[in-house]
This record gives sequence, structure tokens and C-alpha cells, in this order.
Amino acid sequence: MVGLTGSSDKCEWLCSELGFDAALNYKSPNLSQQLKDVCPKGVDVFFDGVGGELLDLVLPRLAMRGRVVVCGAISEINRTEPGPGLRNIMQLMAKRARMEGFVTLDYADRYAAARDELAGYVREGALKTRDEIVDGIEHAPAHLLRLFSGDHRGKLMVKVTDPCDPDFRLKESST
Amino acid sequence: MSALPSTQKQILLCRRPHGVPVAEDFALGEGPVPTAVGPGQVLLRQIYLSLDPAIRGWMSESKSYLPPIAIGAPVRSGTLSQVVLSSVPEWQPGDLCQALAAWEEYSLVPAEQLMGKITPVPGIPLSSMLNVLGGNGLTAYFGLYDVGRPEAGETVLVKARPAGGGAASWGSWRSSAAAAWWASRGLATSASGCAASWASTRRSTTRAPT
Repeated sequence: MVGLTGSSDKCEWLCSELGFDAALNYKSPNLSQQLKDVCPKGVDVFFDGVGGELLDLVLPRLAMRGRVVVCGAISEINRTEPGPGLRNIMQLMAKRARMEGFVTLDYADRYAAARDELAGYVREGALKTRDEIVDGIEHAPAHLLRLFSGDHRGKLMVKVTDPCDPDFRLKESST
Repeated sequence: MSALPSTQKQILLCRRPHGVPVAEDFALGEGPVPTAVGPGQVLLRQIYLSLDPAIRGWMSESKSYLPPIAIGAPVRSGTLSQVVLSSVPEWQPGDLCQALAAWEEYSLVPAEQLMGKITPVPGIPLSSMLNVLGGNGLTAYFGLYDVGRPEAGETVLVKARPAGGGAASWGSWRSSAAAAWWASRGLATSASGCAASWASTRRSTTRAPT
């Protein structure tokens, strides 16, 4: 499992805290060579939430019959003009690879079962999470902008209020 | 159940962002609190708002799988919410849910925008229901299980960005939680959007996806 992140601190964090086998700084000027070194047999599955130049760089690194899971393209989301487009798209042919998009919404009928499984991993300690929560709806815009600055390590959320439990004996899980 | 307030705080989209959003694209407003539900509708009270890159997508006019947020409307958002009023038998006041609502305290939504009942899990913070047990984790789960389908011994590459995005849930939340479940259950990874990691236990058995 190889991770890409934006600083050497975060690379260290990925490996030491989150259990990655290797982590690379995607801002490195020789990222392509580093990927070759770390993944000598190529990348079998690229879970892509970035798109753009990073996707273009990874495409030649795909292994035969590799798969690109198109989750999103955050590199494109704040563009004011269209980006240059993918130059290496024909790697999909060369590698007999598949690039497939998906929307989680389509799996709604399986959410409950998936959650049960994921909850098990969380309880086992196999799945760790980190939340960065700010209180007060008025802070939502500023907190959202941290998504794009990279100034965070956990999931960004805003707390609006506590659950209401006057009549329903709803017990919030302890934190 | 205590009486509803007559007004509520909302964060409105007041203009389309140009590039990276800035504070001036938003406005803090005060709006009415709906007091009745129509057929098929539920009134929600927001507990947590999930901040995801998808929200930026909805702020533009680009064609996508959901329409753009209207100028002057509260900003659409994934939420963890509690049902206040319901005209739908499956949802009762007090139920917690993951929903597609908005940056406001109360939202009147069609029941289809409720994406699953949340049952608090002892020992797991409620906020995790929006994170590893919410859109982020679910996106990683389905993206890998169903779409990526890594095999034992394969290499998975993921941008481990702890951003707001469990991949593409209805909010195109991004998650890069890469778990080669059937390759080695609990393989270490990180979820972009939920900074989640499955501890590496690496086993050689291959488990077929369900």
C-alpha cells in the first residue's frame, strides 16, 4: 500500500501512524522515478481523487491490467479555465487497463452492511480515524477552505448542536 | 419534544467562486424554520456538517450529478442529522441519520435524501459516523471492493489526503481509503477525507468480494 501526500512530515505520518508500506511526496520533482523505485512491478490499483497532472503521471506506472478508480478530481475543482487534459490516456490501452468512475450513492442499499463491517474494524483498532471539528455553523466557510490549503490531517467537520434526547433515551456514544 | 425556534442560522452561497472559494462567496443569514412536513418529507436538525470537496463542485455552475447550489440558497452539504418531524413511517422523530441537507440548523428534505439510519456505536464517537463509517469510509469501501478489486500481492496507490472527502458519495466526497480487503484484511491505508487507517495485518489468503 503506497500513499501520496504533500510533505515529508505527512509521509512519515502515513508510514508510522497509518501503516502504509511506503509514502511519497507528490510535490517531488522526480515523483515518477520514485514511483518506479517504490512500485517496480507497477501500480495495480490507483484510487484517484486528484485527477489532472498526478493521474497523468501515474498512468504510465500502471501494471498490466491495472485499474484506476475515479473517485474525484480535486486538482481540477478550483480551476478557472479547463486543464490541459490527459496526455497519457493511451496507457490504458498499452496496459490493458481499466479506468472506471463511481458514485457512492449508487451503493446506498449496501450501506448498512458496509457500515457494520467497517465498525468492526474501528472497534478492533484496525481502522483509525481523526476528526477535526470546529463548533458553530458560522465557521463552516473558513473550515471548508482548509480542504484546499492542505492545512489539516483529519476529516473536517462542523458541529452544529448536540443530539436531542428528551423522550427517546438516545445515548450518544462516549467519546 | 420542545418547541421549534422560529428562525435559524444558515450559511448561504452568495456568489459563484472564482477559483479557490473565499469568505466573500458566503454569507451568514437568518431564515425561517419549517414547521410542517409535506408528503414524503422529513424535518432534520443538523448535528454535524461534513466538509467535502464536493461542496466546491456544487458551488460552480458545472454540469454534474446534482444541480448547482442556487445563489442565495444555503450551501448543500452532507450532514449527520436528527429527525424532528416526519411524514414517512420509516423515519421517526429522534432518529439519527446521514443525510444530504445544507449548512443550516434545520432542513426540510425529501426522505430520499436520508442515506441511512445512524445507530451510535459504543466507543465510537458520533462524528465518526460521518467519517470512517460515513461517506468517506463507504466510498473507500465500494471504490475498492467493487471497482478497484485489488488481488493478493498487488500494489494499491492512493493519495492519502485527509481532506473532507470520502470519495464519491452523493456529495462526490473523496476518500482514498484503499483497503485490499480480500488481499489482506485490514491492510494499512489512509482515507483521504477521513485519515483512516487499517492496521496492516497482511495475510496471504484471498477473500472474494461479496
